[in-house]
Amino acid sequence: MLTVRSCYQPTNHYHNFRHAIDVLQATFQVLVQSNILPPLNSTVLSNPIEPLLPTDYISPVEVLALCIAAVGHDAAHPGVTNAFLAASSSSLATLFNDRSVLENLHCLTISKIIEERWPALFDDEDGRFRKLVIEMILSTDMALHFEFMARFEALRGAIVGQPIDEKQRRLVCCCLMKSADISNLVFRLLV
Amino acid sequence: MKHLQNRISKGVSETVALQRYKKSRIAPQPRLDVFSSWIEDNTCILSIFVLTIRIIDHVVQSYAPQPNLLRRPIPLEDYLTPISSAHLASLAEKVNNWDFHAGQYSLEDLIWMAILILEHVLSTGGPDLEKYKVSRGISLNIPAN
Repeated sequence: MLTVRSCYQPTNHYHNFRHAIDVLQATFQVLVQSNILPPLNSTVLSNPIEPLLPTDYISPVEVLALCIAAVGHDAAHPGVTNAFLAASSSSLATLFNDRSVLENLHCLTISKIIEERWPALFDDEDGRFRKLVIEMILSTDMALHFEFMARFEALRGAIVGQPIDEKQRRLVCCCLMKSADISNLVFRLLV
Repeated sequence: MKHLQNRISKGVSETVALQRYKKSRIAPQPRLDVFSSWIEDNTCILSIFVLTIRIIDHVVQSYAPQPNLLRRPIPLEDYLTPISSAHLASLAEKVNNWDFHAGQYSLEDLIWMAILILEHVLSTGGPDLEKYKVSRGISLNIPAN
């Protein structure tokens, strides 16, 4: 966590470590309010309880991936937009072909940190956990927002009362991630 | 004498006609040449513009993960100071509160909050998350409410 914090630029007035924790806490709250996670308290920490929803809705692995993605979703953010990076022919934009440049940078950063500091996370045979984290971070690119929302709207109509498959679960996770990322808009303004 | 004057005037008129002809044959300056000449005339402005872009690029690059990012030891002053059980419990209470603003807490408290959430997810995830658990060397001890 100390390494993650060091990757966030304190000079960046918005996309800094505080924003990362804000998004992590919002993700946690959404999971608690959805009865996917129990609230945080001493009883839960000392005596683990069964999840309130069946695990085929959102699995514990996906919950953990959501939290990791929330912490790292803006890691190493330089404080400029994707459009700026592309227009200024930045090396980063060239590296990522002008597509979701910042989001790719965040994925790269958090992947490197996990590989070094928590390698067990990426230790599955099919790389599922890593794919999940990457997909969730890439979904925070607002340039893809409307395309993503169209997919989510289609899914919403299809899954009412139905069991959902892994692809659909990943889409739900991405939606949770996006909601948490922009959740600061619904919080009380402290002036 | 008159004959000579006629020859001279004829020669002058021919020269003028030739110059007019040559001028009429000059192709219009291509757009690229116009742009190139503008660049030559405004080299200074362009240099400043290019330099500014390069500086911005350099600044942006400096934020990107450096190759030695993970090899650098964490400075001693960055290590977390020991936290009391009571303080941990108060942080857990704040994390449980929907009305949460990270801007109100110190960076150290925020790190502890993140650890609390991850610990919570790992401890409530059952056997699926068993393989992801790592030892921190200590256990979080939160007093009962």
